[in-house]
Amino acid sequence: MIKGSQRADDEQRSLVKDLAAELVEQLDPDELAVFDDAAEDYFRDPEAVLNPRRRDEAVGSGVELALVTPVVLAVAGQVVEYLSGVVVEALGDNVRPRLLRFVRRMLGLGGEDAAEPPSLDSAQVEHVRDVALARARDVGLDEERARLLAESVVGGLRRAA
Amino acid sequence: METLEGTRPRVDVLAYPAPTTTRFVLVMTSLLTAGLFVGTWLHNTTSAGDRWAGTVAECSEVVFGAPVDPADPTATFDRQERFVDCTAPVERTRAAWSLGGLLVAGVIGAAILYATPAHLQRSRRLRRPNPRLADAERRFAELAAEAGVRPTPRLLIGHSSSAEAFSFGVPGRYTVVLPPGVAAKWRKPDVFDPHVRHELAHLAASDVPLTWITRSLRYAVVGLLLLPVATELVAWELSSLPDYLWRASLVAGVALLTAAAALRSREFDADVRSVARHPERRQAWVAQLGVEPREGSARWRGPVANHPTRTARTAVLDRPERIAAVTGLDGGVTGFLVGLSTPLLTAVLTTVLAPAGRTDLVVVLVCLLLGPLLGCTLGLALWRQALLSRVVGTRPRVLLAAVGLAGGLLLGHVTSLGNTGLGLPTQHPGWVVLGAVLAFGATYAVAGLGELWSDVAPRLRRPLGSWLVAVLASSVAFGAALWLWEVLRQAFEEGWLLASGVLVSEVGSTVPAAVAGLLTTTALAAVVLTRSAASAPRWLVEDEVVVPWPAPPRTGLLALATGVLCGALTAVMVLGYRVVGGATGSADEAVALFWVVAAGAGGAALAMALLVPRRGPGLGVLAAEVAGGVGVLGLLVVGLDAFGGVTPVLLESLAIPLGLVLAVVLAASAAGALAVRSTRTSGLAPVLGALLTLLAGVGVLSAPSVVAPWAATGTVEGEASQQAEADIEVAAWLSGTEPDARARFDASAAEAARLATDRSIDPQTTASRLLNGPAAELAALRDELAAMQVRDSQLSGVHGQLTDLVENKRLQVVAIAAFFRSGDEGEVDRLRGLRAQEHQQTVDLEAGIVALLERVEDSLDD
Repeated sequence: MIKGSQRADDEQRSLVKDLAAELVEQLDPDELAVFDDAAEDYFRDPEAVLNPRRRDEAVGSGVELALVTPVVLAVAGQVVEYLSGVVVEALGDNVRPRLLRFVRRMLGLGGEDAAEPPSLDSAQVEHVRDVALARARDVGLDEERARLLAESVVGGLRRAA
Repeated sequence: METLEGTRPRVDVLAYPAPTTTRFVLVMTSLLTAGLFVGTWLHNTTSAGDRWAGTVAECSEVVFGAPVDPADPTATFDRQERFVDCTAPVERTRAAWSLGGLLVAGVIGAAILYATPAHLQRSRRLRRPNPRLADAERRFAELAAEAGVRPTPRLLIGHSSSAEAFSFGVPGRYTVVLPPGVAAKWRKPDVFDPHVRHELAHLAASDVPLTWITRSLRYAVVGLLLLPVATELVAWELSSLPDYLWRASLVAGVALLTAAAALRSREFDADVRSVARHPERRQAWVAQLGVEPREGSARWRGPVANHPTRTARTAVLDRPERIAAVTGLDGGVTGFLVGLSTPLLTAVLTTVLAPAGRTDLVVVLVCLLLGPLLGCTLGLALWRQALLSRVVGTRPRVLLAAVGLAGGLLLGHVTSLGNTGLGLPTQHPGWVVLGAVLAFGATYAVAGLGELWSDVAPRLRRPLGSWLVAVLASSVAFGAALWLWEVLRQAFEEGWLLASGVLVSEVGSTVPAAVAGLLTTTALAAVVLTRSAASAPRWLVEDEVVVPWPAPPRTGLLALATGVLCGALTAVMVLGYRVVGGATGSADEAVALFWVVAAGAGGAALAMALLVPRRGPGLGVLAAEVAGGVGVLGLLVVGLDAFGGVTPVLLESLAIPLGLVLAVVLAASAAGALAVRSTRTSGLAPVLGALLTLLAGVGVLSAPSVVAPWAATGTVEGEASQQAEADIEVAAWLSGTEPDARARFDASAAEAARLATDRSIDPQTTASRLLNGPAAELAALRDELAAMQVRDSQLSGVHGQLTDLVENKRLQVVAIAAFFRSGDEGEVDRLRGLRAQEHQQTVDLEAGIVALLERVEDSLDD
C-alpha cells in the first residue's frame, strides 16, 4: 500500500512538473534552463521557495529578479490536485495512479496508454481556471501574469479535449 | 550641493578613489583597538595583572624608597632607569596582553573570513551552473574580462528562493552568485548584463574584501567584547559593567552603522561604475531598478540597510555628482571613529614604549596613523567635491562636514573604551573650544587647498597627480590638527598655565614649523601652476565634449601682498617694542614677541579666510607663512643684538614663531565658515589682515603675562639663571619631594591593605584604625603637598597630579572604612571607580615624571 502511495506521489509530482514545464515554456521559456533545479528546490521545500526570506545582501545588487517557475509549479500542483479529485471522486482511490495518467491525457501531456478519461464540462473547465487563477494570485503573481498562467492551463485542457 | 546653473555635463566621479575605502579601514582600526582594550582588561583581571601591580609597587619601594645622594647629579636618572628596568618584564607582559587582544581579534576575524565562503555555499545551497547554463557562464567570463576583473571570478547559481545577485570571497578568490532568475536570462543582455556588471563593479572596486573583512572583524570583536562581561559576571564584580557595556555597545553599533553607510555609498559607486561612459547601459540598469519592490520597506531599516532606495540610486545614475557631496555624517562618523581609537592607541603605545623610555613618540605615532586615515577619507572627499563643482556648477559645502568632524572627535574621545571606569570624563573648556576650532580650521584649510588645486586640474593629464596631492596635503593637515588636539588636551589638564607653555615649547619647534612649510608649499605650488583659461580635464568628464573651466580669480598675489603687509607690520611692532621698551625685558615679554609674529600670520590667514570665498583658507596658509617669514626678520634684528650675532640658539628660537604659525593657521582657517560669498571684497584682505595684526599684536604686547603666564617670572637677561633655578627646583623635587611622598604613600597604602585583610579585627575597629591611621596620614601628606610653593609651571602640573593621586588613595581608604562600618555595597562601587581613576592618574604621573627627567637631562647636556 505504501509502495502504491509512493508511486502515486511520484506520478503526481512528475505530472505537476510536466504541466509546469509546459506552462513555463509559454510564459518564460528562458527559465527552462534552470527548471529542473527549481523544481528540485520546490519539491524539497515549497514554502521556502514560494515565501523566501528577503535578504539585503552585502555587496549585492539590491535588485530582485525572482523565478516564475516556483509559482507555476504551485499552480500546476493545485490544478492537478483538483482534476485528480474530480476523477478520484468518480472512480475511487485504489486506482489513483491510473487515474493520474487519465489526468495526464486530459492535460494533453501524453498518457495515451490510459483509457479514455472522463471529459470535463464547461463549468469544470471554468473551475480549473478559477483554481489556477486563485493559486497564482495566492503565491504573489501579478494579475496580468496570473491570468496568463490560468489561460495557459485552460488552453491545455481545451487542446487535449 | 545646490545647483547654480541649469545645464551640466556628466562628470566622472570615479576619477578620484572613493573616500569610503578608508572609512572601511577606519572601522577596522576601531574594531582592532577594541581588541587591544580587551587584551588589557583581561591582563588586569588575571594573575598577570596582580603580578604587574605587585611588581610596580615593589620596584617603587626598592628604587624610590632610599634617598638620593644630592652630590651625584646622575643619581635621579639612574634611579628612574632602575625603575624602568625593574618594571620592564611586567610592562612587556602587559603590552603583550594588549597586542595579544589585537592579534586574537585579527586571527578570529581571518578565520571567520576564510570559513565564510564554504559556509555560505552550504547554508545558501549555492550550486555550480548546470550544463544548460554553459552559455551564461561564457557571457559572464566575457563581461568579467571587459570589466578588467582578473582572474575571472567563480560563478555560482543561487537557490531558487534567491532573487538578488551578490558577491563574496577571500582576497584574490571571489565568487559571484547570480539568482537563477538572472542566470536564466543570459540570452537577454538588457537583463543579464546589468546585474553581472553591477557585481563586477563591486569586485573592481575591492568592495568584496573590504566588506567581508570588516564584517568578519565585527563578529570577532563583538565576541571578544563579551569576554570582560563574562569575567566580571564570574567574579561577580558588577560595578564597572554598566560603564563598560554602553561603551562596548557603542563601538559595535557604530561599526555596524558605519559599515552599512559605507556599503550604501559603495552601491552608488558600483551603479555609476557599471554604466560609466555607456548611456545605453544606464537605461538598462534603471529599468532593472524599476522592477525592484524595495521601496515599501520599513523606514527604520534605512540606517542599517545595505542598499540605498531605488529613487536615490536612480537619481545618482542620472547625476553622479550627487555622491560627491560631503555631508555632516561624513565628518561626524570619521571624527567619531578617530576619537574612539585615539585614547586606546595612546594607552597601548604608552605601555609598549614606556620600557624603552620613548613615550614622547606616542602622540606622534597615533597622529601618523590616524592623520592619513582622516586625510584619505574626509580630505579626499572635500577635494573631489571641489573639483566636481567646477564642472557641474554647484557650490561645495564644507560647514556640515566641519561641524560633524568637531563633534565626532569630541564624542568619540569621551565615549571611548579607553575611558572605561572614568564615567564621562570632563574636559577643560579651553581644550574643548580649541579642539573644535582646530577641527573646523583643518577641514576648511583642506577644503581651501582643494579649491586651489582644482584650479590646477586642467594642467594635469591624469587624475593621479591631483588625488595624490589631496591625500598628502590632507593627511598632513589633519595629522597636525590631531597632534595639536592631543598635545593640548594633555596640557589643558593643568589649565592655561601649562598649555601656554606647551604651545611655545612643543608647538613652537622645528617639526611643526616644517609641517606648516609643507602646507605652504602645497598652496604655493597651486598658485604657481594655475592656468587662467582652460577647459575641464578629459578625465573628469564622461561626455566627449569640451567643458569650459571657470577662470580662477587672481588671488595668489593677493595672498602674498596680505602676508607681506601683515609680516612687515609685526616686524615693525617687534622692533618698535624693543626700541621703546629697551634692550632688556622679562621672559614673558620675549615670548610675547614670538606671539606677535604668530598673530601677524593669524591676521593674514583670517583675512584671507574671511574675504576670499572657498579658496581663502588655502590661500591663508600661504599668506600666514609669508607673514611669519617677514615677521621673523624683525625678530632676527632684535635677536642679533641680544644673542651677539647669528648663533644656532638664535636660529632655533626663530623656529618658535614659525611653529606657532601652524597652530594659528589651522585655527584661523575656521573663519572660512564665516566667509563672504562674493569675491568683490577680496581686495580688502591686506587691509583687514593689517588691522587684525595690529589689534592682535597690541593685545599680546599689552598683556604678555596673560599670553605666556608660564614665562611670567623670568627676565631676558636673567632667563638663563631663572631656567637654572627652575631646573634645580625640578631636580630637588625629583630627588626629594617625590620619593618621600611616594614612600609615605606606599606605606599608607600597605597599612590600609593590611588592616582591610586582617580578619582578627572586628569591622568597626578596622574602620576606626583605617581612618585614624592611613587615611589621616594620607590627608597630612596631601596637605603638605598642597601647601608647597612650586614655581616652575611644568613641575607645578606634575606636582598637582601627585597631590591628586594621594587624595584619591585617601578617598579609597575612607571608602573601605565606610564599608566596614556600614556594609554598604555602594562604597565598594565607589572604591572601584576610584581605583580606575588611580590607574589613569598613575600613568599620567609617570609620564609627567619622565618628561621632567628628560628636561633636567637636557639641561645637564646644555
